[in-house]
Amino acid sequence: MHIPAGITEQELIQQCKNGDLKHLEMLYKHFYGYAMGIALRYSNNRDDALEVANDAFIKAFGGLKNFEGDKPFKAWLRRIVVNTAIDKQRREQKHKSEDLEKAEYIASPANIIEQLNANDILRLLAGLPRIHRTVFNLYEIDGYSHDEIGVILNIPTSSSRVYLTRAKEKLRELLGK
Amino acid sequence: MMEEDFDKRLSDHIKTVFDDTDNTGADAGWLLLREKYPAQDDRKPVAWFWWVAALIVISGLGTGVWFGEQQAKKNRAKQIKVVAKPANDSALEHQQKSKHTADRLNSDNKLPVTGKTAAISTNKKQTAAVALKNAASREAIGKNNPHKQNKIVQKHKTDNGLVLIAISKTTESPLQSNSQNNNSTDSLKTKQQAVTKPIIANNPDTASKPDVKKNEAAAKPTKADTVRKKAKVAVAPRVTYGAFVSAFYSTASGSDNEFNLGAGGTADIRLIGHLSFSTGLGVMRTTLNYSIPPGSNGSMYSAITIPVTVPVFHNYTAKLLALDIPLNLKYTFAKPYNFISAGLSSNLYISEYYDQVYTYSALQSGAPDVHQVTQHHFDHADLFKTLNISFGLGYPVSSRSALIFEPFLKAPFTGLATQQLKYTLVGINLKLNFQTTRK
Repeated sequence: MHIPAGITEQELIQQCKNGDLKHLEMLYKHFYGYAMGIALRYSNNRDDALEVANDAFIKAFGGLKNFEGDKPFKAWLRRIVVNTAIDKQRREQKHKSEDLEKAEYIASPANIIEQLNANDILRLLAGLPRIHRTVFNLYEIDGYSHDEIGVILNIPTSSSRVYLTRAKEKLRELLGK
Repeated sequence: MMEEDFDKRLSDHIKTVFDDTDNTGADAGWLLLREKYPAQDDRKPVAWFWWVAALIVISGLGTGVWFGEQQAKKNRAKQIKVVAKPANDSALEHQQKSKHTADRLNSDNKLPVTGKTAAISTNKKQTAAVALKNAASREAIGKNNPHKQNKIVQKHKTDNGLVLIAISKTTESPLQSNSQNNNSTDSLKTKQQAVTKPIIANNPDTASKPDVKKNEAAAKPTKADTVRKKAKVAVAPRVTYGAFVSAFYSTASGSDNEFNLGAGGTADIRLIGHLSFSTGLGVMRTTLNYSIPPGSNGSMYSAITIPVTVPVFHNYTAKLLALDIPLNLKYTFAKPYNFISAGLSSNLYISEYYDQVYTYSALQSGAPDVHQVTQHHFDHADLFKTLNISFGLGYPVSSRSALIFEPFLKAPFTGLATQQLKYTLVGINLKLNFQTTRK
């Protein structure tokens, strides 16, 4: 859903700050794809991703009053989605043991990267241990530094570097490189 | 180097792919979010609900008390007027007269007269103004002389609304020995101040006819008493209280009619004429049972289960326990207990229980039913979202109470409760109204 003509993103956000449900719905649908794109990379399946995205939106709606309009909403939302996804991982980690070698991806030859669609990438990422995948997402896709990752995941910075290296190695391996 | 390049290409590709995935699931996602979000959304209304409810109760009680006070004031004023009316127009005039009389008695007859006049204001705002005048006799009262005292009580209303009660005590004494005028006895008799009726009855010898006429006011309290009694009887109570039990059906599109019960209390505050403001507090249990034929897609409940698959719905049950606060205007007909009433209701849901039964039998034959239960407690309030219409037929049970049969309809303007269900209540209240005694 796109923002209707005649209303800017800032105006929409302003309306949402007033708690108007219709505008919140517009905002949700406008950024749904973006939020899901992030959530999917951190989640095991689409249901989990939707749960993450929705929880993130609820947090965002609640915190809209504190959102400064001069900053890009996307970046703000991205941060919320990522944090929500990591929180969910933490909760689940208490109940689950990780199967490190559960996935295998059969790679195809050259130019494989450009042929990967969203599902392929998700399957590929699912082949990584969760902590590796998270560090890979945070660093390579979402642009966090190792210091920030260390704080977010409560791990040493050096561990973040190690996990990233291992994630890349694993991806290369899965892609037959 | 090649590995780094590979990693970079992969990262860039992932960014591109996931920068904005398709929005096909946005509608379903929004509906799913609304399941969680309304609860947060409605926390403010719940707080508001309590504030509004408290305000209504306080203002209702306040209005009742105020009306009661006003009525009591009016009654008091009426009673005082009735008592004061026959008295002289001016208390001052009377005081002067009293003074004059006392002086004359003293000076002319040289009688030892003790005059005492008290002026008491009954005006509530002014404290009682008591004016006492002790006219001591110029000549000492002989110790051996037994005094005969006549007490005169008169009430007067002055121009400024001050009501004065004048008490005069005249001492009638056979003080012929002190008096130089032997004929003074006769003049004393004629000049004596007022003697009240009871005193006349008790002491017929001491009262003269003119005195009785002058003191009609004092003689009339019996009439005033009658008026006062009538006034008391005529005061109708402003607030009528009631307790009720309700039996009603809840109906909704797609739901069976379900029988339900409720109970509560009401307070009717008379405004003007036949019109009164009615409010109260009721607890109502409402059950809805939606039956969806097997094979239908159950789209009306898609909000609850839409994310992954489309289940086939069998049944959907909602059990709601709600506090109902109505604000109605009531018109009472000539017969005191027949009325029509209309207004709005607000609801606070104490508990909401939703049980959704569905199966995936469309995909897999013989699949078991799945129950999806959702419960909320004090999560939702609907302010002024329900229209109330009712009429009442009353039968007096005693002088102060009546049994009332009140068929009613409660129709919502929008969906109610967390799941936004649109249901109507049709039923009857069995109400016992009672009026409090005004003292």
